[in-house]
This record gives sequence, structure tokens and C-alpha cells, in this order.
Amino acid sequence: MQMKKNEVKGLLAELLAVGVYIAAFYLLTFALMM
Amino acid sequence: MNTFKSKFYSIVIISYYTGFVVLGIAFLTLIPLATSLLLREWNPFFDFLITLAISTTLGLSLILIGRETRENKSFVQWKHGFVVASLSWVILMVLCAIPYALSGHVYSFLDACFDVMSGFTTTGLVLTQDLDHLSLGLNMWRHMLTFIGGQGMIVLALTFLLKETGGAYIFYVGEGKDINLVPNVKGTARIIWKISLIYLLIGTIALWINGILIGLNPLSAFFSGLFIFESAWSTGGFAPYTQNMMFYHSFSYEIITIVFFILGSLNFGLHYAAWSGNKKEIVKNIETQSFFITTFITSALAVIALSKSGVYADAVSMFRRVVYNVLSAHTTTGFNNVYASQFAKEWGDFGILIMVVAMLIGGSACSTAGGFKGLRVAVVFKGVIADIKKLLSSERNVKLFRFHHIKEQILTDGLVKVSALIIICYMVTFTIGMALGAYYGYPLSNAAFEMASVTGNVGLSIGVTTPFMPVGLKVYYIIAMYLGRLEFISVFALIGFIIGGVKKLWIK
Repeated sequence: MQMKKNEVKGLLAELLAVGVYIAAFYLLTFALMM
Repeated sequence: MNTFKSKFYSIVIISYYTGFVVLGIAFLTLIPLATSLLLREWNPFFDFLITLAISTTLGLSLILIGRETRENKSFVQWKHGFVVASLSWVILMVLCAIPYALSGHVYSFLDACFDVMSGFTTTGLVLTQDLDHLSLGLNMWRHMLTFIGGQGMIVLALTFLLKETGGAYIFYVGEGKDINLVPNVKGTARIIWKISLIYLLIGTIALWINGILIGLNPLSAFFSGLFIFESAWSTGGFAPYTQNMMFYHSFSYEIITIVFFILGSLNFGLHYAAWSGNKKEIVKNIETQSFFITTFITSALAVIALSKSGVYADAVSMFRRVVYNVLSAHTTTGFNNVYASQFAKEWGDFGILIMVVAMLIGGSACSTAGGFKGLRVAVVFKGVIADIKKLLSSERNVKLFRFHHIKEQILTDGLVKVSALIIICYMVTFTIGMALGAYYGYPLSNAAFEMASVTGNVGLSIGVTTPFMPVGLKVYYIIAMYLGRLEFISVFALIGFIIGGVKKLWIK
């Protein structure tokens, strides 16, 4: 099962998007607790 | 041919395809069978051998009954697809419950069926006892069923076992996944499985390494990583230990699971678009936008409500205990890192209400997640806005309303109506179950929480789901999980098919 370059980029983009999403929610929690 | 077009025409077709699905499950038992053999777990080994023998015999018998389908190259109609999907799920539930029942970890065969349906539908509620001492073979079976249930069992079996897949798209729809990534169904199935297996590899390795770092031995860390990934990706919620995510007691482990259960709750069409170079789809898609808005609102409200009550003192524990569980509920995963009694005693009615709403909304359509689905919520919301705009504008002004989901689409009244109808079906199922829970004597908030978890195929529990709950409630929960996963239409088709058959016989 080989991955094409586009597919690797897509996978990384998805992981990055979810990472940003989690970071945003983490910051949201801090902001709401202040 | 005329003889073939007799009253048994449909039964023969249904039998043929159902036989292949059953045979597919028989093949799958080889995986836990091999696991038990390698780990020298002899009791589970024989349990799986018995299941393999029964499934193979039944599958081959059904194919034999329906062999005329192949000889006559019969055309599969929509009703056949729906009935095969819904009927197969019932047959598979009974077959797959055999290893559970033989293991001695369940009190009754009904409990075994409950756990299998919970796994297939990626719900995650558990009646199996003493999970901490369950064999690795049976654990492999539990998590494999939830993983495969999330991707679609019928499609898997039919696309890989049948040469002719002309009508296979019908089975996709029958199984609650109206998805056509590429024109041919085998291609679509391969794409879905490629995405899932690549993530399986990445997720298992990430959790395996993390498991070793938190002190698990390498073998146990590997199996934990594999099982937890399968549960996270399929938004299932099963875990190999009774304490679920609390067993690992690790923030990093929790973060990794969030990544994969969010990815698992996204539409396969979105994954395919991103992997095909259209990365902007992640931000532009109406479903991801709807998911972001609803998770933002529910998480914020839960944090505000629980910070007022002072249960969680600092932001880190608030994120780990509140935001984690809200996201787990919203993606319909069901991983939990607080005890069921804590939901009941510490979260308060408002906290429970937020969780109920999050669980009912659920993840994306054509993903492994349950609930109404973000797409339907967004379509109905846009439909309401469109109607208000139409009322406020001049009558001669005809305006088209659009939304972006993989491509630009026009918001039609029909689409809004279908989405609203499915949401109503979910709400009716939820309301009846909640009333039933209250009838059996559970507090209304507990009955609502548990029923939202069942209807949305979530798996979080507030303590209602136990082996000692009333049999009527167990049966209703099984039906509700099944209805929620197949999104009603297939099950209605099966009921219609049975009633139609009985009616014909009665008239004759």
C-alpha cells in the first residue's frame, strides 16, 4: 500500500488541522477559567 | 426465468447476498483465532473455532439457497439492498455473540448480543464483565468488530468476496453510507480501507510508543495501542480495561485519542478530498464548520457550568475531564476519563443537558460516527435561515441558496425535508427510550443521558447500562443502537418486507 505525495500532504494537513483545533480548545479552556 | 420471478424472487436474492456477508464474518474470525493460537489461549481458540464452523455452514447454506441469483444474473433492487443490510446486521449480531457467550464473561446471551450490537454500531456500551481479565483473543474480536462496523461490514464483505459488484452501491446506502468517492464501488471501498489502514498504522505506533513511555510492557502497550486506535478511529469507545481511558492516566495518551477520534468522525469524502490535493476542503466544508461551531458552543458551556460548581479546580483538569468528555460525546466516541457516577453526581443537570445535546448531534455523515450528523444539522439550520430570508424578501425575487460539501450544492426543499425527517426519527427514538428509562424508575436526567448515548451510538454511561438493568430496556437499547447506525430507512424496509410477505401469505 503505497502513498502518493499528494496523499501524504493531505494526511499531514488533516493532522495539522486537528492539532490546531485541539490547541484552540485548550486555550479556550484557559480563557474561560480566568 | 418466469419461475424465477415467482414469490421467492426477492428471498433468493437476499439469501445470496446475506450468505456472502455471513461468510465474510466467518473469514474474520480467523484473526482472533490466530491471536488465540499464537498466545496459547486455548479456551477462546475453541470458542472461535465453533463460531467459524457455524458461520461458514450458515453462509454457504444461504449462498446455496440463493445460487439462482448468480445463474440468472438477477438485478439487485433498492429494497434488496436495504433488507440485506438490516437482516445481515441481525444475523451477524447473533453469530458474533457466540464467542462472548462461550467466554463466560457475560450473564446471558442477550448481554452478549447487546455487546456485539454495541460494537458493530460503534456505540461502546459494555455489559461484558471483568474486562481486565478478558483473553486477548476476545479483546481482538471486540475491537475488530467495532473497527469493521465503523467502515461498513456489508460493503467490506460484498466488495471483496463478490466478483460482480454492479449493484453494490445500493448496499452502501443500505448500511447508512451514501458515499460514492469514485464511480466504481470497489474503488470507493479500497479508498475507505486505504485511509483507515494508513491511520491504523500511524495511530497504533503513536499509542504503542506512548504506552511504553507511560510504563506499560511492550506487548501490552502494542495491544492497547491497537485496540484503542480501533476504538478511536471507529468512534467506538471500547477499551481493553474496565476503567476505560482512566486506566492509562496519561494526558498525552488522551491527546492522541482526541486526534484520532476527531479524524474518525470526519466524512470519508472529506478525507479523500484532502488526500487528493484539495486541502482547503477541510476549512470550507459545511460539516467541519458545523462541527467546529457546535463543539465550541457545547465545550464552552460545559466549562462555564462546571467552573461555577468548582468540581475541577484548574484549566488542565477542566480540559482533561470536561472538554475531553464533551468532544468524546460529540464525536460519538464514548471514551471516558471520569466515572459514570461523577456524571450523575458532579456534572449537574445543566452539564448532563450539554452532554445529551452533544451526543445527539454527533459527527459527520458517511464517517464512522453516529448521531443526527453535522451535515443534517447544518442543512436544516440553513433551510430555516433560507425560509426566513424568503419571507422577508419580495415575492418576485427567486433566490437560490447554496452550501459547500465536497462541491457547491444547492439547498433544495427536498434535502431539508429528508434531513429534518431523519432528525425527527432520531428524536422519536430518543424520547421513547428516555420515557422507558423513566418508567423503569431511573431519574429522568439519567434516562436522558443514557438514551442519548444509545441513540447517537456514543457509549458514555451514567450508570444505567448494567447486566442487571430491565430486559425490556436492554432490548430497546439494542434496537435503538441498530436504528441509529443504519439511519432508520433500511430497518423500515426490512419491517415492510416482512409485513408485506406475511400479508401476501394471509391473503393466499
